[in-house]
Amino acid sequence: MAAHPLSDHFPGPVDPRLHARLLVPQESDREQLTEFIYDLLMQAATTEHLLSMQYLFACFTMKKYPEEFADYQPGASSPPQQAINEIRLAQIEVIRRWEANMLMVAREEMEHLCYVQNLLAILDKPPYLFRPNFPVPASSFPLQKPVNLMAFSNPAIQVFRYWEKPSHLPVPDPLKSYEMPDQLRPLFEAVPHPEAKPFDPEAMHAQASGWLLDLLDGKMDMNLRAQIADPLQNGTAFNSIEGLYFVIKYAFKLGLEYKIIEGKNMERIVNEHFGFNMQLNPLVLGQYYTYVEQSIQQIIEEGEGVWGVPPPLGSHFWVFQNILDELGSSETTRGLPFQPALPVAYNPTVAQNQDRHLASLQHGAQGDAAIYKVDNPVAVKAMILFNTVYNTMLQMLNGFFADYEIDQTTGLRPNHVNAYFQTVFYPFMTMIVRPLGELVCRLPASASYQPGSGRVPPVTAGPDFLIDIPVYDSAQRHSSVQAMKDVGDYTAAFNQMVALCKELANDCAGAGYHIANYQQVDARDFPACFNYLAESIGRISLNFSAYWDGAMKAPVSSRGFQNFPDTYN
Amino acid sequence: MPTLSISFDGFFLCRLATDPDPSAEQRGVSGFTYAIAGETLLEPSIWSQAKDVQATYGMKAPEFTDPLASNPVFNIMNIREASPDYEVYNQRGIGITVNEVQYNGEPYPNLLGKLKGGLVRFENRPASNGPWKGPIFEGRNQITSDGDPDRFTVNPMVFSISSPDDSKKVLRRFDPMSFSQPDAQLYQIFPNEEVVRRLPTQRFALSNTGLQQVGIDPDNIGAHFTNRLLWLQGKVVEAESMGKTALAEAYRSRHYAVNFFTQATGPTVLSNRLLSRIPLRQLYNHTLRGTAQMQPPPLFDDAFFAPFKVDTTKEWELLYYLGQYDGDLMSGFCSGTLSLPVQPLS
Repeated sequence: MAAHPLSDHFPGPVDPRLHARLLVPQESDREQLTEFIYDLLMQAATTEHLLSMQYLFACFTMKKYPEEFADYQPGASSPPQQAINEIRLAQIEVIRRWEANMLMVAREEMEHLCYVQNLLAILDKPPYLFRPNFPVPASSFPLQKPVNLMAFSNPAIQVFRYWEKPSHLPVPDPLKSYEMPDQLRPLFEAVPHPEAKPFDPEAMHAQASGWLLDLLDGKMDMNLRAQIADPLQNGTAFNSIEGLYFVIKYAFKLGLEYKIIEGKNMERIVNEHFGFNMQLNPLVLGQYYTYVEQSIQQIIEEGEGVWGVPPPLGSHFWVFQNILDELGSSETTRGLPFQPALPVAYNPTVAQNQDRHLASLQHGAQGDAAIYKVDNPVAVKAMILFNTVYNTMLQMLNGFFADYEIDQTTGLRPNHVNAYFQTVFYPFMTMIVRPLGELVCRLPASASYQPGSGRVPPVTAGPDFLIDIPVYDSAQRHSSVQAMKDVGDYTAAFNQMVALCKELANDCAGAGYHIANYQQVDARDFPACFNYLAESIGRISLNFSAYWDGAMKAPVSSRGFQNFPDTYN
Repeated sequence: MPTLSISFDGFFLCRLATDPDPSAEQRGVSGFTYAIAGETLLEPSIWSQAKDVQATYGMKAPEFTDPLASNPVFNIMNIREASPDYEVYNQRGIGITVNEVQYNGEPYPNLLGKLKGGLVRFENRPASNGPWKGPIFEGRNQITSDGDPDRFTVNPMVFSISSPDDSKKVLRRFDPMSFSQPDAQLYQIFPNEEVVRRLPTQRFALSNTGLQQVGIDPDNIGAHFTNRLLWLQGKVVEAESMGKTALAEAYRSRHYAVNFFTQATGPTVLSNRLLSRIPLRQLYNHTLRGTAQMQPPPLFDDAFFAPFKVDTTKEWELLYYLGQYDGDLMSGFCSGTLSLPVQPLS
């Protein structure tokens, strides 16, 4: 039988046996294929989510003020000290530029996560916003390295470059970085550094065809199916993001073209930009596959380059490569030891139970050693606040993606969707998550810390983005981040955050903790920052309820306003 | 009722954090406004006069002073120089001043002679402004705005005019955001209805008039930042040749921000943030209605304005444009008119 040519070049002719099989669909095919793609999309969502939070964490750890260098002495009059000050001031500028680029990369991973939620909508599945706690073992992640919360550092950026590199490009093993902490090494050593080889679409095509044929015939290897169903527990079946997205795309294409599955939920396609580069046509009715293909193309293109084509200069890969280049030269050209990040603990956590971390469950004592239990009571409270904020944000995102719709003419959304939209992106991520993350990274990690003259503590805490469930409990992976149904539940969560912020303002003042630059003109120390967060969250709560009830509407009518054209937004 | 109109214009300084930075960000990272080496932290106050900036923050330290600056005003802390093509800004510097006085629509030279060059200020009112040193554009990233991320109020609103030598305040009026709670901060005023009268009433995304006021060619807006980039490249070299390492990096950061937010060479869709702000201006049109029972009470110097007498129990109408915000300089342009209800001249 001749191979069936698909309507475009990707991914080449369908395997004749698969083509023949798809021409005589069976009753179970729809469910089998849908669940298969659903599993893959959950893995893709988890991957994008992990990468984004990992990058955010590294950004939170970066020094912002020259006072965060121990040898910076503002107002010094001796020429040698002035020379040191000048170097530190210069380095703070460089660090800021790195962080600006990395924050953009983190935002683009969020955009990718949004695209995956759109693909789940097309599949008629709910949003998926769970991710395992850090550290995530290499075996559970499709890129063959563990995912850690790492302060900005040479090994961290080497890992980030590795995530975003084209398959064919060899890069050194981040494990060989002299700065790689000993406690993280076993997690990296668990999977050998892979040899770089070009992504082979033909081989992947053959493999995917075989998988799909076996899947539909009920002959798929049980271990393989288990890996696809639960890569966290059983290990992933993929060794590249390109491979994962290739199979998603291929399965979608066959499912839609052979009408095994139907595209659904056009109204759930989110295309609001949030400052992202979301320019795909959201009107997907009748052209679902085009949307699948274009969104996956963009995800890959913004990362490591498309299917073996070298990455563009603005890609994530080049962001990290450039940072590594500059990082290498900074110390040698300035002549002073250079630590661009605060001394934030690796994989900090406030989790009480071992079953919260895959690393502990799968690597025992070595996994435990890679986790730092923060015990400073103020830092613990701040981390709990952060986790309340983060988990509430996930619940709001879940509600937003699950119920999204917009009137394409008026721009109006249903009230509760509008409440999510007006809350979870612009104010919440920007005004709460980021500043709070930065504050946590400036608090001491250890209960034994004694404050001294506003200098940075020897080890500082960091947000652990904890989702506090047993990680192997697959039911809770869904329920823990489900949207709340009652606006009162959100109000209660906001109120809890406000109370914690106010407590933290007092706690920091009482403990004598300071941000290192607190004596600078206009500096805002811990109490001012936590009180400002309390004010903002309190007002967010009022707005949220008003949007939910329809008392507040948005967007506002633009009576006589000359608005920006799209390109200026 | 007869009207005395006082018109004003000039550049203001506003070092506010910009989206996607949080609004209390003090260094500037992901937004297009940065506090760079040699400057104080970002603080969102609107500064109407360079001399007030100097009085508060002093002069730049020697290692951050540019001996080649085109105007001494750029030796003041936090006030930046532009490339030479932005001639109007470099010549005028920061300062909003009176430029016209009219009585019932006709020029009134007798008063203009005394008032021309008078210093116009948007003043602070700490009781309703939290920790900031001056009035601010407060949106808190859509927390206190109304869903339109670009519709900000100026709050608190205390408008004043001083004599040209700044020896005497001749006029001042407070406008409470909430008449019933004049000391309320903006975030405390909910729901938003009371705020609406102080929001912009019109927005001009591409204002030729505004651009002409500051000397930018509306047909070639892109050149404004292209010239800036080239100039900043030169300043980096100059600073390095003077051995001013930190100043060179500070110029590099300015260059980076202008490049990132105009040239789309980075992994960004924020590429038009700077370009979109330069042609934009918004029209505010509201009254000043503070009473004698509120602090500060209305002030009108009868002797200075003689023969005019104004009724301080009536509302004064203030119309003003704010716009042409240059994110690199953190400076924008203000022009407007205060209309005072005066008793008829005999």
